[in-house]
Amino acid sequence: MFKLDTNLASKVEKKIKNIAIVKRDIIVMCGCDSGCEGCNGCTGCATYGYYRDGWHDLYIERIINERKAS
Amino acid sequence: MNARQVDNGIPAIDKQKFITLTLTNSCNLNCDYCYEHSKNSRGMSFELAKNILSTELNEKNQYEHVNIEFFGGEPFVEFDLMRKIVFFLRGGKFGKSFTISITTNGTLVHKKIQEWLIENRDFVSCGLSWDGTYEMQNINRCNSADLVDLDFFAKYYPDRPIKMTISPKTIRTLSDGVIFAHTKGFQVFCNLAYGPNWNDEKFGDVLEQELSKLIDFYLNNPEIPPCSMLFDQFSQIVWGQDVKTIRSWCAAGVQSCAYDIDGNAYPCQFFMPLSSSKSDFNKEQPVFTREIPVEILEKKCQTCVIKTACPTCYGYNYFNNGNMHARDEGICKLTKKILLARSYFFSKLWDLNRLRLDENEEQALLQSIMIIQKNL
Repeated sequence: MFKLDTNLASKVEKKIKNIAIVKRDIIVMCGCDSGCEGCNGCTGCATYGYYRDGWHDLYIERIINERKAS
Repeated sequence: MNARQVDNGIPAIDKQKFITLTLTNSCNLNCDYCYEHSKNSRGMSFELAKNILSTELNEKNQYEHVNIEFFGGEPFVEFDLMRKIVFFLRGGKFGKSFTISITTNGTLVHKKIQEWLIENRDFVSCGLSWDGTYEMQNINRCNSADLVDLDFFAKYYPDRPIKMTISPKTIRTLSDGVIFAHTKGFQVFCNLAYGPNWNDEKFGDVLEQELSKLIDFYLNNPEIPPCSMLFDQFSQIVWGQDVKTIRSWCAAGVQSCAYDIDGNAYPCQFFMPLSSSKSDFNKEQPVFTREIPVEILEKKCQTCVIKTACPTCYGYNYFNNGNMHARDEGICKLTKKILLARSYFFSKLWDLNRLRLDENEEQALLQSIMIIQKNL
């Protein structure tokens, strides 16, 4: 399960370029809970880790904009 | 400098420190997977809390901002102390800005506490730990579902995801739990509990089925932000091959510390006697660094393609396996399934043009997807 079918795998492979990728400085923010998935977090800790990488922001911002537009 | 409003004007991450203040060792629940094995009725004194916070907020160091987390036990057991501390922080002048965060089991958050949270909403962020459907919550969390006012958290903290811990007893309904939380208006952090035995092969099959249901759900409901299990970052995998060091998974012992009720500082709450039940931690304290040499990882991890995106808990590893880098075998197998599912999900989102990525991000993502697809 979760293996890409041949068509999609080929599409991804074709899109990959032989260029240098700038390394992003990914920092996990809290020592215990939310973003890091590292512990059980029954009573938990800061939520800020969730946004540590910016990817969520990008996607959520797009969703919010689409909601507003509709 | 005054306190900053929640989530506004916070400086860059490397200028922030994260401190956990244990207000109480007491909790009104006894969750199935709880890692705090030495709970008792003791709490922190107001004077001690003031001293710790005054020191942290005025100390001259590289940090400009302090994230303060009220912790327990269940922090609202000490609501009066919490009120005093927040009143002290509101009125004080400190050298650094700060934010205040609480995560609660929610069972005590009613009437006066709700009113106080609403009054302080500009100043205090409060998140809920909730484990899925009502049935899942009752299984993991001592039949507490009816004690939690879910609508309150959804209304006043809509941007703060709920924290959903999945145990072996609830994994069969993982997708139901996540979808239920979305229908109540929440975003969802979900992770597998550390501590339970995940070695049974059946858990892998169940997890695959549940993640498959969630992927279908999110592809059909693009307006809903996906849960962390499917949407967390993994593009760092592309830089994680043939490296000599990897970035520490969390900030424990580097950029964060946890204070117990007596004011002793630990790398994170997992190292406190409340959790570890051991008093010899200081005698054999492991070394925490931001960059971890690959050569000190376990052999199986040194060559693992997902080592830079593999969640781990150094405290759990340390006290259960004797080595802070020794990952749990059962969790390891399930993590690989999660990463494979995530790579599949992101490839679908990419194919549907639902990701907004610059060229660099896109290349990192696609290359990471293919590394996972070819190796896991």
